[in-house]
Amino acid sequence: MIFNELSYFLLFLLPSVALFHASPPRFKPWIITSFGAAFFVYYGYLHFGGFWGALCVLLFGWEILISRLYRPGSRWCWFGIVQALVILFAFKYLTFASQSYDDLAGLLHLPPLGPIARWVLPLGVSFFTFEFIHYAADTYRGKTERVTLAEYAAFILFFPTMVAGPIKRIQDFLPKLRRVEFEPALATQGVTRILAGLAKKHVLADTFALWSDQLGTPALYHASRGQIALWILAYGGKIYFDFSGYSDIAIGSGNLFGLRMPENFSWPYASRNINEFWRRWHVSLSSWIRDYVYVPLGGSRGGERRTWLNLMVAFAVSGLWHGAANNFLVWGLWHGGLLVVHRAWSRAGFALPTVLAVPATFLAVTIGWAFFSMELPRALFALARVVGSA
Amino acid sequence: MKDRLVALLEQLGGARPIDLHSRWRAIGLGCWWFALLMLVFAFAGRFSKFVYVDF
Repeated sequence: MIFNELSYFLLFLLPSVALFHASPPRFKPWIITSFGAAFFVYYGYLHFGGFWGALCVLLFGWEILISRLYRPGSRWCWFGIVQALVILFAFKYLTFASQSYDDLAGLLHLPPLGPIARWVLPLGVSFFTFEFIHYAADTYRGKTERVTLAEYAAFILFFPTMVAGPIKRIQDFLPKLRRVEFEPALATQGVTRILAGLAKKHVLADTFALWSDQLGTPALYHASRGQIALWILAYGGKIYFDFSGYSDIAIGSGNLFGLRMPENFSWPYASRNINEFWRRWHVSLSSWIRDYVYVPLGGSRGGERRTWLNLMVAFAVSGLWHGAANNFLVWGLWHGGLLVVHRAWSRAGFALPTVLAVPATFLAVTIGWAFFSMELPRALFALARVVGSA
Repeated sequence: MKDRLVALLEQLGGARPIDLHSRWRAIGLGCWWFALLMLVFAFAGRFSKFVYVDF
């Protein structure tokens, strides 16, 4: 969807790249902004709620206006952070929160709220709200330089990264935008990256999906231990090639503009421990969670137990960010728990040799994919069947 | 050996630049693009949704 549709290349990427390089520097941010808005309206209308999905483009207009009020230490920055959280909660988590409340109310004999239907889910809401929060928080802390309206609009409406990242930082994006020029070598690299990303998605991810999709069917309840283990392993392959392929297309598209985007993956399944895994997997998200959740909570500055708690909270947030459902929360807590165990383990002076550490990390991550890929009861059933207790 | 393999795979994936001063390398890259395009056309259409796009 979107990056593997011909319309992405013919209506958006190729015309915008051509116009971008043909126009004088002062118009370049406006080229990105106009195509970004058109991109959001077009795909919002087609795939994300029709008219109302397209109308959500006004969120960007509002954010651009409010961002003009941001100053270091200003309350407007807090307003910007809160409004981004409200947007994210209202569109993504309201239904989940009301269901969770009703479940709890049933246990405590309280009156339920009743079902709240999900409204539209704006295109890329999980990603663009994180960029809004980053800009407001960094401006509050005086970590950004003065940004013009056109530059900020180009930053949040840069369509190659709008839908699913990589999550950008203004300090990284802006200097490149201000000095951008067409680089044939970078554009060539970008074409390679886009084609490789498409191949990763269609050839590898979709092949792994032939097996991993069985996890969502009734076949799960009749499958053998080996089959379920294979399907969970296949899900690990599918999600890696799917999302790294997606990131390749986004980064390659950015390269065509002459812009270098942040990397998202660096051979994550070769990691020797879970800490290293999170420095190689979805890097732009894990660094965002570190900078805007873990560090503000106190990071590792408040003693060992407080650090453990901060890790668990940060990964619970990361889990829920991936989806408004209990299984994503458990997936986040699983990784938070692994990081706590790894921290305690390594501080006690233990370390596995690489030949054991890489498979052990891979196994721990693969168990986590069971929670990520299935609703909680199914995931627990699948894992129990694999270890032989169901 | 391992580093060279990683470098080669990253070049083929577009994550690392390729020195294209040699004509043969440029031709090789063109063939690689063609091969990737054919693979994409051959396999496209089975599943279309990206995992991370809409949650």
